This record gives sequence, structure tokens and C-alpha cells, in this order.
Amino acid sequence: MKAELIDIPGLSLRENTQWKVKALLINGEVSLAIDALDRWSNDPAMKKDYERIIDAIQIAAQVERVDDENIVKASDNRKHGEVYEFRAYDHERRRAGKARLMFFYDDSDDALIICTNSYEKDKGNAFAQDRMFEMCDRYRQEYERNKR
Amino acid sequence: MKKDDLDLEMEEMLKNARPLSEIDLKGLEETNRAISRDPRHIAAVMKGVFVNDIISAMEAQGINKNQLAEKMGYTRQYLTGLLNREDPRNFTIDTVVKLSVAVGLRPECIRFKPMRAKADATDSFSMLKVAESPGEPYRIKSGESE
Repeated sequence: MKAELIDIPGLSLRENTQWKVKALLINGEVSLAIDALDRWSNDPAMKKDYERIIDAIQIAAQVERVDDENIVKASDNRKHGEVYEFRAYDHERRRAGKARLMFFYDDSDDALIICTNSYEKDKGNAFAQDRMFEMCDRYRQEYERNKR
Repeated sequence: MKKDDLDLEMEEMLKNARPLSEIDLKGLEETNRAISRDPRHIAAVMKGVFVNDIISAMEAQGINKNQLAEKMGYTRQYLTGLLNREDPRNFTIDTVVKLSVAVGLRPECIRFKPMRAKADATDSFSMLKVAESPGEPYRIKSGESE
């Protein structure tokens, strides 16, 4: 598997942020993260979720690590490496939406947040979250392998 | 190497995903540029970064919410609501400054600038930062309890 990085359109981060945000491009043609972002941004039912995900991405880009588990949650499965999900969360209504975007940090000199895959949370589907974290971790390993 | 269930699921997802060429990247860029001009979004990012800095400072200095609430003359419930960003009306400049100083941070207000004609999502970045105060850091007074 070939894993490269691409910009997320309209999110080409300035130099003064702590992290640059990228999406993983698989085999030169597919980015699950950008596919999901495009789908959510064009779906009226997911529009608010999309905006909250962009909020969370931009907060994460500016701080060392996000302390608010409502918007960034780490996998609590020890089998996974350090992988996270952005959550669409409405603080005023204290309610999480469905959209989740998985990512990991590249702590090297480049200082990158790398978005990999996504899912939409349904009630009673705890399995999907763990599976998507596992997938993100697999992409993280592929990315590291490609970097070498 | 034998493929496991996860490999097969990943293959399936990649097969069903649209290639980049089919995705309207221009449209996505326009959407993100529009979000960058949305006051709700700009405020959400500023508050998110600010609260993160406050929580980091509290952790670094070993201050809990009870102690901070007491120092500021708030109830713990009010402070929790503030840090959870539940009510947008609570975020006055006075409150932001008071909270920063209470945890030993110095508010650093960057002057506001006109939006660029081709603003992108990063225009909501870094309009308000807090930095470590050059003065004395917050200390728990003797007699203050957890």
C-alpha cells in the first residue's frame, strides 16, 4: 500500500500553527478522509456535524494536545497505537453528532496531524469505533513504513 | 501474507470511496473558506484554544476546579459551564482576562485585521492567545484545600 499526504482543500494551514493538518492519500488516488469531508459538507443532514469537525481540527492544529474529550478522543484500546478521533460536538446543546474523523500525530520535525478514515456513529454500535481506531492505527503503520 | 478481516474491510472501503478526481475539491475549498468567515466558527475556535490553554495551565500548576472557582469568586458549577463552553454569553473579555490571570497566564491579544479577499479556514487562527505570565505564577494559598 502506498500512503502519501495531501492538503485538505481550504485548510492549508499557516506557519504559526503548532501542527499542519493533512489527509492520507492511499495508492495515489483515494483519501477516505477527504471523501468523507466532501460527503458531509454536501449533505444537509450532516452540515452542522461537518462544521463542528472543522472547528475541532482547527483547535487541534493550535494546541499541543487537545484536553477536551468532547472534540478529540483517544482510543482507549491498548492494542492500538496513539490514534484519535475528531468528534462533531455541540457544546451549547451538550450533544455529540454522528461524524467522526480518525487521525494520528506525526511528532517528527514536520509536526503533522494526519486524517485517515471516518465513520458515522450510530446508537449501539460501539464496535464500529474500535474498528475504525484499529483501521487508523493500520494506516499509521503504513505511513511510517512509507516514510522510511 | 494472509489477509485478515481488517485488510478485507479496508479494501472494501477503498473500493467504495470516490477517487480524488471525482471529488469536488474546489467545492470543498469554497465551503471551508465560507466557514472561515462564519462568526460562530471563529468564536468556537478561539474559545476552544483559550479553554485548552487554561486547562493545561491548571494541570501544570496542580490547580483543581474547586480552587480556581474559589479564587475567582465563582461556583464550581459556573466555572465548569464556562470551561465546557456551554453558554456563549459567559465569554466576556473581562472573564477571559480574569481567568487567564488566575492561572498565571498573560492574555496576548493580537490586533484584528481585515479578512483577506481569499480567506481560508486558517483565518480563524490565533486571534487570541494566552502566554505564560512573566509575573508570579498562581500559587495555592496556605489553608486552601482541595
